[in-house]
Amino acid sequence: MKNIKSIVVALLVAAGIIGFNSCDVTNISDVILQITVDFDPIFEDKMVPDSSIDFTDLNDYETYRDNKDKIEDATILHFNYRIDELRTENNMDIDSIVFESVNFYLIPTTFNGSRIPGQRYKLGEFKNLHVSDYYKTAKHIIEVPSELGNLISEQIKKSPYFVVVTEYSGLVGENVDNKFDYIKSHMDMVLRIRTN
Amino acid sequence: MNKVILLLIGITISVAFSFDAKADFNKDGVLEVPGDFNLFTSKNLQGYTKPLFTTIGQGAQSNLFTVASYDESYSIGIDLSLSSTLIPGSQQVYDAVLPAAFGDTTIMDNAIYQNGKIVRNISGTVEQPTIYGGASNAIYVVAPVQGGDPADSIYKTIAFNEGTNITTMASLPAFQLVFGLPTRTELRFRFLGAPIDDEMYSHLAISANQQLDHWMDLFNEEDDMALALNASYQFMTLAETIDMNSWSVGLHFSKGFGDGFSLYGGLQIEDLSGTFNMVRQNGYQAEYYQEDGITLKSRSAISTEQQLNYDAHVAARKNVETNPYEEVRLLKPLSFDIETFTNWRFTVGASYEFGIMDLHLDMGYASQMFLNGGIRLRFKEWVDNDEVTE
Repeated sequence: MKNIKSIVVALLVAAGIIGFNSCDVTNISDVILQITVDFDPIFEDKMVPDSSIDFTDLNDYETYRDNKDKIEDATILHFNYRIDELRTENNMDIDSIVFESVNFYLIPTTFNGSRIPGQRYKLGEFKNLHVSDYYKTAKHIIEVPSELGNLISEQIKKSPYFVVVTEYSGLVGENVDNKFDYIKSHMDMVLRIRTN
Repeated sequence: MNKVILLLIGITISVAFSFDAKADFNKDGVLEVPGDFNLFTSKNLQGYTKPLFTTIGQGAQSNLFTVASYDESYSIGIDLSLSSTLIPGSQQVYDAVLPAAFGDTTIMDNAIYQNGKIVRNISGTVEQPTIYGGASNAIYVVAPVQGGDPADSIYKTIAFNEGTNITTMASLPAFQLVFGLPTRTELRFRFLGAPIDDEMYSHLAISANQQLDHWMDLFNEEDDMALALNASYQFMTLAETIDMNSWSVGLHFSKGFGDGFSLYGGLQIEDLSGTFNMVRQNGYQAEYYQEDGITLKSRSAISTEQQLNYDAHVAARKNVETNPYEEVRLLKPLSFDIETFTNWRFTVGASYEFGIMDLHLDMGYASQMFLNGGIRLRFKEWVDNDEVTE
């Protein structure tokens, strides 16, 4: 009987040690924020296929500024793309405008916008993009693959400057109006920032 | 943000882990928080932190008793215990309150990307992670739908804080002084004081256990069984930021098996309540506003000695002027009532007494399952006629 009690006591002590060692208390000091970054790339007075470019300095965002010395990683999670205004040279009806594709790229830069050679990350694409379906709506969201998000994170930790390139393909159909007076689009991007 | 989280964690586990909790207090002793908290309203911060306060409350109300058999003698001892809680999935999310116009399609179009799916025009509340939870879900917003420049709208894409993927959490360590009385009563006192900047976090607890069964002759003496009542009241304060109290009442039962080995169990009801107050940097002051509380007075209407502070407030508001929550746009204080998920618990445990030492380990079912273990040392025990027995 005494041996059994000793074993029970030993088991209780062991369970206690295991239980207390399993606490994740160190994890909780990491704070994980999400910040939204927005771009308004203007495509102006150009023929498609061509691109619009928008420069971003994350220092413009208060949450980033407040935490930049403590950032462990900064990952792009997803983004939404929409078109706010568009006009072709001959006032083509937006219901009839369809791009074969629209591709999105992130290119790291220096503080003055000079591109860092050899680095260009494709964030995603929309194929067969009907402009009317993308007109002032919040429903076109692209999730950035985590592997790519991690790659970009390493870059963002080194430099908070980058450009987002929106690359418009040619239009679907024949006898279409390829000359745009402007395409005013908008992107909201969600970044996850982990600080320690 | 980190400072406040660290403060709360520091409160939770400060002694056991020698945690260095730091925070910035204003001249009134209220915690002042930076812009990271612009993602939070008071209501949403309450939901985000409720599981953490539950852990604090559960830890405070743990280790109030072991065996229900109390000697008819005076005694003095100490008890040191630690506890760990298991966070259930239900406490890893809360319902975040959305700004009023969300879901009104005459004002905006919105969409949330949740679990790989796009859900449109959500309104009311949306599930987001608590401090123990995982990834949050941003809401993409386009407004106004017709006319105007979306960039000038207060309805913009918003993000929420993420959780920290915690499934187990250490709770408050309990160091108690234990006094026995010949009425088969045990009194327990615990005090924890932790300096945080120039302020002091204080936790004072008073507990009493009273054996009942001998008054009713419930058990035969040779069965080595006992039934007792337990009650506790505790309060915790930190300057003008934290003011909370907690109480519990319950019954516990034990049976001894000889050679100092006993099993015990108990059922108790408990609660934790109080207030948590923080202010935003350069935050809202009623004297800066007209009677409606939302329209700024002109600078000339502010007293000369307050004009610099007024200027700082107006400048700080620029950073949040398109925040969808009015509370944040006005930089109002972050204040909420502290709540807990735990209102009752069932405890089972075992105790092994050897000489002056008593090892005890128990586990319990409550809103957060917990494991609690410790050691009690009874230094001195004597009866009414001054006969020292130990």
